[in-house]
Amino acid sequence: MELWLTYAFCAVAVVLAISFALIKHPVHAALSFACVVLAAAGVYLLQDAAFVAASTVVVYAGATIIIFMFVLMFAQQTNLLDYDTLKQNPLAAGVVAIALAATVIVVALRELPTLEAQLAAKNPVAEVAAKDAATDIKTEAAVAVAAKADRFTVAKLGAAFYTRYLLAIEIAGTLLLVATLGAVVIAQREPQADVKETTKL
Amino acid sequence: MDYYIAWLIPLGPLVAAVVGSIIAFLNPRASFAHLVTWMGLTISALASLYCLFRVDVAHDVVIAGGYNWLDFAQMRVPISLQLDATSLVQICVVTVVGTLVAYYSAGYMHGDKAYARFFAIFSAFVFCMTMLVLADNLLVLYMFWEGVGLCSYLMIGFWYERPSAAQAALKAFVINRLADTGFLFGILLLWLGIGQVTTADSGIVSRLDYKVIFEALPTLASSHPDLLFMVAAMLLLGAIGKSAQFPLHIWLPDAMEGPTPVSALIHAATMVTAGVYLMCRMAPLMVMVPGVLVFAGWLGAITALLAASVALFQDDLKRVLAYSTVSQLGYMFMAISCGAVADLMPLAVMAALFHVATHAFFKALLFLSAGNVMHAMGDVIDMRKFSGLKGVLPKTHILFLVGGAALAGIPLLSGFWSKDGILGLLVAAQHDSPYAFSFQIFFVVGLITAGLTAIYTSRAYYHTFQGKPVFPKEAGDHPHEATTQMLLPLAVLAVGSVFLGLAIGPTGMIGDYLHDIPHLAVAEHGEHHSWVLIASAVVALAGVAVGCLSASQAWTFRSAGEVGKSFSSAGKNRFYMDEMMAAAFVRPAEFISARMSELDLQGIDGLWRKIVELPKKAGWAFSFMQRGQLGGYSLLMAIGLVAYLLLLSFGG
Amino acid sequence: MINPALFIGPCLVAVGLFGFLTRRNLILMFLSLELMLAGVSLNFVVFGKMHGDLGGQVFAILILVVAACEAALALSLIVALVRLRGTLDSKAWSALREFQFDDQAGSGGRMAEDKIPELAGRAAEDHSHPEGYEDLPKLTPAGLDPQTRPVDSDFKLPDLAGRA
Repeated sequence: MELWLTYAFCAVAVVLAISFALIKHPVHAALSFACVVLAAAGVYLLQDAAFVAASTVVVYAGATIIIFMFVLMFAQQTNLLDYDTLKQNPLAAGVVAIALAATVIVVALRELPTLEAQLAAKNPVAEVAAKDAATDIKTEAAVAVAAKADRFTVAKLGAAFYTRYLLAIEIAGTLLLVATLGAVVIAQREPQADVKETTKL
Repeated sequence: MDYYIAWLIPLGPLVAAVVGSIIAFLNPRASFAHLVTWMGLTISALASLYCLFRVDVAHDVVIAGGYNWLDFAQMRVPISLQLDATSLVQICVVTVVGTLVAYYSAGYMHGDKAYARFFAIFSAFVFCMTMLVLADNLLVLYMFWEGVGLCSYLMIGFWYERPSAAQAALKAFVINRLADTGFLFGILLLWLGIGQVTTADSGIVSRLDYKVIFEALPTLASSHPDLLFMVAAMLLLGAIGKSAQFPLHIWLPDAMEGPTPVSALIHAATMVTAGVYLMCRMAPLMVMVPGVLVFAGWLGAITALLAASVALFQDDLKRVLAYSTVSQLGYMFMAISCGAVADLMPLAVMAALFHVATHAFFKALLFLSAGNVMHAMGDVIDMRKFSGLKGVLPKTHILFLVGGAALAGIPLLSGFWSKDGILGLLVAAQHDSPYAFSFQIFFVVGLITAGLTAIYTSRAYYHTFQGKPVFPKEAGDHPHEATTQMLLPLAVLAVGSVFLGLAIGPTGMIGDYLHDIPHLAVAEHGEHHSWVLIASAVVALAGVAVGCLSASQAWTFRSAGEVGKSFSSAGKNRFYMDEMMAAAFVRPAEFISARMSELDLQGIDGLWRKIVELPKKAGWAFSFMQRGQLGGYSLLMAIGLVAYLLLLSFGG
Repeated sequence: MINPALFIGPCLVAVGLFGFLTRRNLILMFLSLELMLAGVSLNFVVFGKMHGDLGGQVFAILILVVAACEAALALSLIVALVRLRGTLDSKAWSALREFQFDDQAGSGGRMAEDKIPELAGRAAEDHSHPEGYEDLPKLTPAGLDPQTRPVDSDFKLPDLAGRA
């Protein structure tokens, strides 16, 4: 079930991403971007990353997209301009992008089995599972316990934030503050520019 | 006895030059600048006169050492002064005439905007000249030989704003360079040769001490006669360049662009006689290669005749004197050439130096008198524009007359005695000599030149001072006589012009001096031919008569028919010597340098321009990437990234 | 069994790259970048689960923070740029170009330079030197000015012959 859901979310995400890349209208493209992010959030959920999923939805699909829409509308009243309709270097870009994706996927297919085997050798839970598979005896309880112990929860994540990753989180917070200040400063209108802006825009 | 006092001779001018340069830098118009030069030169002149009378030249050569320029390992360069007959006579002429000219210059240059510079260079010149004369080493001589060349250049181009002066300076410098290159090669060859025959470890540079050279000469002559010949020829080349002998004489007349006192000192009395001095100095070497000496005589003869003929047709008073100088230098070379008869070498040196001394006095006198004329005429020196100056310049008139008479060889004046000495020598050289024919020619040329000298001198005198008074408008209303300050040194020179010949020549008052030339066989007094004396007197008087007559009657070659006319125009054009030189040297040099320049511009420069264009082209080829477009740049970046990724993943 | 979610990350990155390369709208280019970031953080999360390590999720959160900062700054920058050019076209910005491509630069939404108040009159200037060229440090040209032809067309050797 989880696997199938994962497949579904992945397919939706990829299809929507491609449509994001191809749609000409910027607003539609932005909306499909939001949908990609939602699909990605679904994948997060399935990967035991509930907090990441939630914050992605809030930050990306919520705040970022909304602000982008604002700017888009502020800057571009008329609808389709030729810089939206015309793509630059589509062929080269396509080749590059496909080459990139193909390379990574081929390498992943080549390397991942070994990695998984190594991980299985290290991970006791996986060991149990492997033993189970070998002996073909499935003890429901054992699997449940193992899965429960393995499963990440928001509480565990929170604990990790405030213990092991405290410094990183503090730095991230500071970065956010500085970026906010920077954004305010950059977007500020200069007094002289005011007159021109009102006449022009 | 120590002759440390001899060091005062170069040191006086040196100090004056250094102090004068500082003054010139601080205040180019400093009106007291001449005082330093006066002091330095006076000290120098007194010291050289003292040495002249104290040094017992008959017995030894005095080397005044005391200064080591460089002293380590094999390199030992002691600088010492050699006081012997040759150098003492020359040094006295240099310092005494130099001092007198310096006194005169203070008046002549008064108010010039580079007054201080003039005296700084003047002192520097005298310093270089004294060192040139007193050096006991050929290399040191060469060093100061170049030094006087430099000072001459600076002085000819003294008024460098004037294009003609700048060009004349350049011409003099370049022609001298041509000759000096030969001289330098001669010195190096000699150095090489002496290194072959001596093993004395007296230092590398000391190998060129005169003493070492002369001691090595007999060995060298027997082992390397060819080399000796080359050395002599090269030294002769240097000498004819500095002494303005045919065919390198063309720089001297143009050198008159400099201030007149400089013309008097550098380009008449002292520097141009450096070539003659070099021949005298190297007499023991020269006497071993009579062929070169006779060649020098031929050059001298050609120069003497040619220059005297050109002087006939010049309208510029200073140029007449300049050509006269060239012609008299030719005389001196003829005198030296008598050394081809080995026995006569001491007498030849003596005669040459005698003429150098007398010539220095009367030619300086003439030049300075011409300077007075120029001064009074508002810097006009063209004889066609003035005449009859007897009335306004009475004292200058007398002085010029004395100098002119001495130059023309009027009997009993100094020029007569020295010229007679040379002519007598030329007659003596005709006896039992393989070069008798040459010396016969030289003698005839000498007589003719003496006549021509008398003609052009009297002509110049007549045009300037006789006739009805005419002044150019540049002279203003009242041309005035020069100041006493300017006339006094002239008077001293005039006394010298009158009595120096008598003093050195027949009376032998200081004549003993020149009778012993070091490193040469003791001179025998040759038999004197009184008919030579009479002949030269007759020629001189006849020349004066012809000159005055032609000037007063306005008789010219132009009125003497077709041949005379063409001769006259050729003379006015200096017998096309400059054009010939231009055709022989300047044009080919220009042709070659133009080709070289083309080669440089098109070949070498073209090549590197092509090379330079390569990266430019390469840059151009890739510049399509630089469109300033974000899309393009990021695409390139992405391509690079993917390529790197591919390499990383599948590259091995 | 390989987690299928691992493959969505590279796909999103590639599509984002494609979008970034082909788009000319500054905002959409930026969204493409965000897409790439999303792909990367997805992979972090999946790998974190595979390794049984919370670091993957923490890193995803950090990427989210950085993306948010970036978004804030980028939007303010875009606002400033739009104020200058009045367009979202990235081709309106080409100050770093080589000048022989001046005439080819941009079509469409690109504003002609002389219409931009800050740059008005620049089009009239000589473009042989980039802006601010005068203030840049320069080597003293040895000999002829390399900017001009190596030898002037009317250059000729001085007439030395006439002097003799």
